Amino acid sequence: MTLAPQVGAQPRPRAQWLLHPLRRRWGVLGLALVAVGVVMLVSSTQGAVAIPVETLARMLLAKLSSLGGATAAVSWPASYEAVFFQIRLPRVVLAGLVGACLAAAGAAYQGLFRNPLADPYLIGVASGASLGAVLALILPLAPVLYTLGAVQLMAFAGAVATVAAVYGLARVGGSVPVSTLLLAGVALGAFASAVTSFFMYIHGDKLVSIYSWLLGGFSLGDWSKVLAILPYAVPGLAYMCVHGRFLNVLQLEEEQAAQLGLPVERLKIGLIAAATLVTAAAVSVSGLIGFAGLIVPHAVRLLWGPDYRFLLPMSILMGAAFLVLADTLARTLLGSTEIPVGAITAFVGAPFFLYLLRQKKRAIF
Amino acid sequence: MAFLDIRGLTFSYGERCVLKKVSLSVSPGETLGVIGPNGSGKSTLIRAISRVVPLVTGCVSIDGTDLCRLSRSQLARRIAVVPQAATLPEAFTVLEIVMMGRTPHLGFLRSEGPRDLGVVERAMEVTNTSALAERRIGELSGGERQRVVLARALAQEPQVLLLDEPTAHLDINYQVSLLDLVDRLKHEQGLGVLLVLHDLNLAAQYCQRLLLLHRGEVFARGTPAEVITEANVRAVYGAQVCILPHPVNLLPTTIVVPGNGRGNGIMSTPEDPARWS
Repeated sequence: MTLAPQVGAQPRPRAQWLLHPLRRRWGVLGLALVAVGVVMLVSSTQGAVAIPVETLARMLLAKLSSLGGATAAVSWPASYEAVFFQIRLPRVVLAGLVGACLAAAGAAYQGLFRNPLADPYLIGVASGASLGAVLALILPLAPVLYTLGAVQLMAFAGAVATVAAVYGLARVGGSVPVSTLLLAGVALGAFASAVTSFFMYIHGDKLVSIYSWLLGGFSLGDWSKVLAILPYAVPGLAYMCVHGRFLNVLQLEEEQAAQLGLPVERLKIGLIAAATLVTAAAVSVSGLIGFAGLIVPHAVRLLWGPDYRFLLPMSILMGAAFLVLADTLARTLLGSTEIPVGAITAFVGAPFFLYLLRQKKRAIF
Repeated sequence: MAFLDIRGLTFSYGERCVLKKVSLSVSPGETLGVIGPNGSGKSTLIRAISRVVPLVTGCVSIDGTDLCRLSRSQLARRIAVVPQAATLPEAFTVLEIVMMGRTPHLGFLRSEGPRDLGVVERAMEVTNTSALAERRIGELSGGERQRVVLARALAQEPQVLLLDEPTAHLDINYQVSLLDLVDRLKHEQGLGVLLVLHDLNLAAQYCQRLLLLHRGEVFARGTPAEVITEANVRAVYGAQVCILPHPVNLLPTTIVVPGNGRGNGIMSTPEDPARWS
């Protein structure tokens, strides 16, 4: 049978415009990208040493031209450069990357599980990473291993191993039903948390360092952490973004998606792997930062609709902006005392999210 | 030559055999109705043909092409399924859902082009859903949703349409208009239609041939008059019914008999004077 348009029939322009949500919203995404850049730069001027925005601009220009071989006259204290390039900028970039990873992974899990309560930590990433980090902190490792990032590595390995185990346990015949995956994730997560609690209890002397890792934050953010997360973040986020159309079709339930020609199981394992790797990378450099991965995708849905082709890139940008802002508040609100960034994300994010929720009356998911 | 051709289809869930050596064929422009009691394997037949459950044995082919050799998307370009009470994500618009029917025609990374839009608009026109294009699924009635699912199936540009009780949960007006629509599309576009129905009267009216399934096996096949008989219905459904010719077109019409005909006072003949006094 053929439903091809008759020769000479012109598609209605209105529908043509509706056709490409990405093309239609390309401009919105571009604006959001610029906004994220501005948020990052302005955030990095804030802190104990306030850097005037125009000095920052001149400093950046000088840096760019020096990359080109030219040298510009320096008219600012040398400490500004050290503060900006070695302390502020890596911290802001790291917060942005972590926010992007958590928000994208949250959106992908919510889509895969067709469950609005899903967040990036749902199927074992958080408990696995905690167990790995706590093991690294309590084992009598040589100090040099800690400077090489043993805690970070163990957290990453713990997270990935836990999700892999959950996936293996949830397999029923040739397929992995999402309900089984959720239950296996919750059960194995509870088990890992129990082991973590036990180790924390018998190693009371390490409680402070363990607890400060679990709370999460970016106070130790530097370029090495940025470099550690990038190899996972870039391909992982790109993979999720190009699968937006498939995530849309998966919203129909798996049987219908298969009848529309999608290789459902292969898509599931690919998306779970991508979401898990970016989350594990984010958690390993920043600890457990709650809430961002849950509400950023929902806020984007409330504002722009459920199409994953737009939802994923927009969640990446909004997640980045959200965590950069939250971290800036965390390190500046109380002067020299830092507030845990997880407290800020919930304290500021929850009321904003509830406000958005009250504005819309129709289905968002 | 038969269009959709199924020979010796067998399927089991674990130990329990759900389909036993089912054979059937559907030609272009023909509706084959599949009837049978709950659990007789009707829905499983559709799931097996659309390969969402693996076949144990048997051969399914379209135009001589063995479907097992096709990829999922090649299969979805030939066979479209209208599931029973399909769940649809409520926040998506009708146009977005119908556009999902183009999935098997789009490669990885390719987004919809003007031709896809043309096909989708035609599918929405013939199913009378064009006016709903920008409405959200959550705002639609059951009958409108079912038309949207049919539009999505047509957007796949299939050769064969499998419908799994498409009229369940619809009122009598929507039941008739949906089946009329399928009937018209079948003639206009040369679709082969395999229609699973619960309602024996709808099956008799809309299908040229019927297949009566009983515990996964073909119990009877043929024209509605050959298949829908009092003896067959009693044997397969265990129900006592009267079959009368339809007053307009003489097709077999099933009339239920309350109390299964075992005299409970309601079942009395018009000649019974006590009933009419």
